[in-house]
Amino acid sequence: MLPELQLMRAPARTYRLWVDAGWEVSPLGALYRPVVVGVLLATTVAIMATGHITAGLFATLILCWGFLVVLQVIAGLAVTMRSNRRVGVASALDLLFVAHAPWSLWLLAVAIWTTGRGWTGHETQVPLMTMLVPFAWTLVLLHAFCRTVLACTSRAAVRRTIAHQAIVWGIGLVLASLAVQLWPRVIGLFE
Amino acid sequence: MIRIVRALAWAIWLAAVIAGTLSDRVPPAALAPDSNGEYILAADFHVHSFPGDGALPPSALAHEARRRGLDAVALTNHNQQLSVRLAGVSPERRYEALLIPGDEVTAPGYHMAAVGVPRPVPWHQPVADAVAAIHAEGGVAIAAHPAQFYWRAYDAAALAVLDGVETAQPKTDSKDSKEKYRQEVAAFFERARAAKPGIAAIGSSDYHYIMPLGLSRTYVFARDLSTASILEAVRAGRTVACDGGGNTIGPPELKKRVEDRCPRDSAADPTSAADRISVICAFGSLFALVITGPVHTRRGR
Repeated sequence: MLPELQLMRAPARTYRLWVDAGWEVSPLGALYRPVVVGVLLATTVAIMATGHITAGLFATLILCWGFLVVLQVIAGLAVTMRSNRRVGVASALDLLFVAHAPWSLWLLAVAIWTTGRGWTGHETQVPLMTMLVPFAWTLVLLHAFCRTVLACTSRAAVRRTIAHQAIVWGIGLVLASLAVQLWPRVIGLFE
Repeated sequence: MIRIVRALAWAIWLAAVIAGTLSDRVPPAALAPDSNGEYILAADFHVHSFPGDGALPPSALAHEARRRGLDAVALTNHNQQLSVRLAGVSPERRYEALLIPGDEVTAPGYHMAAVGVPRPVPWHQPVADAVAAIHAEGGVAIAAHPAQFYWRAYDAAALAVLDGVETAQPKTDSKDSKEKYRQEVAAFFERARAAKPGIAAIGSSDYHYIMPLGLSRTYVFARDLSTASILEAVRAGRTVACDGGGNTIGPPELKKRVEDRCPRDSAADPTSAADRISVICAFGSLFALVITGPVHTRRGR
């Protein structure tokens, strides 16, 4: 079965299988999956924003939005360091990025849906609500990763899962709040 | 087998990008003055950019604007001009389309496009004071998406000094628009016109992430293709708003001059058949790349 789909279907069992079979990848090899995420991000943003993809647009957008992938690599390293992991750091990071599949597939689905529908982007309820699916699925995958690959106790796995999501979402939400100027809008709700 | 699929996916993705690049076409800018000696320029005065809550940086926006038949775009991020600074946007610098620095004054009770200002306008002040600050910087003040939620901030003093009102927006013309919203915006424009006859009718896309840029646009009757001329035309009310449905709002004598162009521009789609095929291939290859990552177990090798 395809590795990402296999993991999404049975996270704990799949991680255990891979770790027992000796998952080993070089630091360079561990960058493959983050690169795929970056390529996916730049391509889907280009298509949603303009309806087409060109080399110039792709290069520009991977420079602009690549920081999101870097953020996830940093969050992954933060969570895998100082643990009883059963594989090396690079291998652990690679295994963590297999768990990116729910979000990658969601982003692809949203891009296909908005492009096919000719959506003008001002009704955001549907995409926002559907985010719950990859969000919840990722929590399950992360927990399984921490339990199996990092050999954490259940409690420690919960803590590391929360820490990982706190880093990614915390920084993301701070940046988004600044971009939309959340503070004046909040004041406006109470005036 | 998975390796072959993965390699094929990369090849198809690359081919899709190459095909999209080769089929990228930008219409030539129609820069000749009309019989009245004016340039009828198409502008979008409310566009968000990266970094900010927009998908594209200024350089990509300039290209996309030309692709969509726009001559000018105002960069209006919320209370900041980081993208303007980083891209070095200035009246002297030439882009494919004219990029006008600005910001969207995002205050608790109102939003306002400050177009042509070299620095962000402080947001924590009443509308009339914000408009005065915009004018002091040489810009024009446009009431952004003036639905009823924002009316309270626009008292008589504010309406008397505004330069323009967004009367055409994607929300007022898309298939799933709310009629109530359209009526609110129309009512606001009537109030503004009563306070200041000749106030500019503005069409804007409020573009963030999802195409198309310039879905609603403004035709500006300017003396030349420059920021100064465009701002002067807005101040003088020489504008016609064009919505995505091909409808125009503005002075009757100016509407006549663009009533054929507006529906044509609204229906125009720069996406070619090659683009569509390239997009389908890109989506398909990305799906394959996501699910066919390498397995690095000793047994899997």
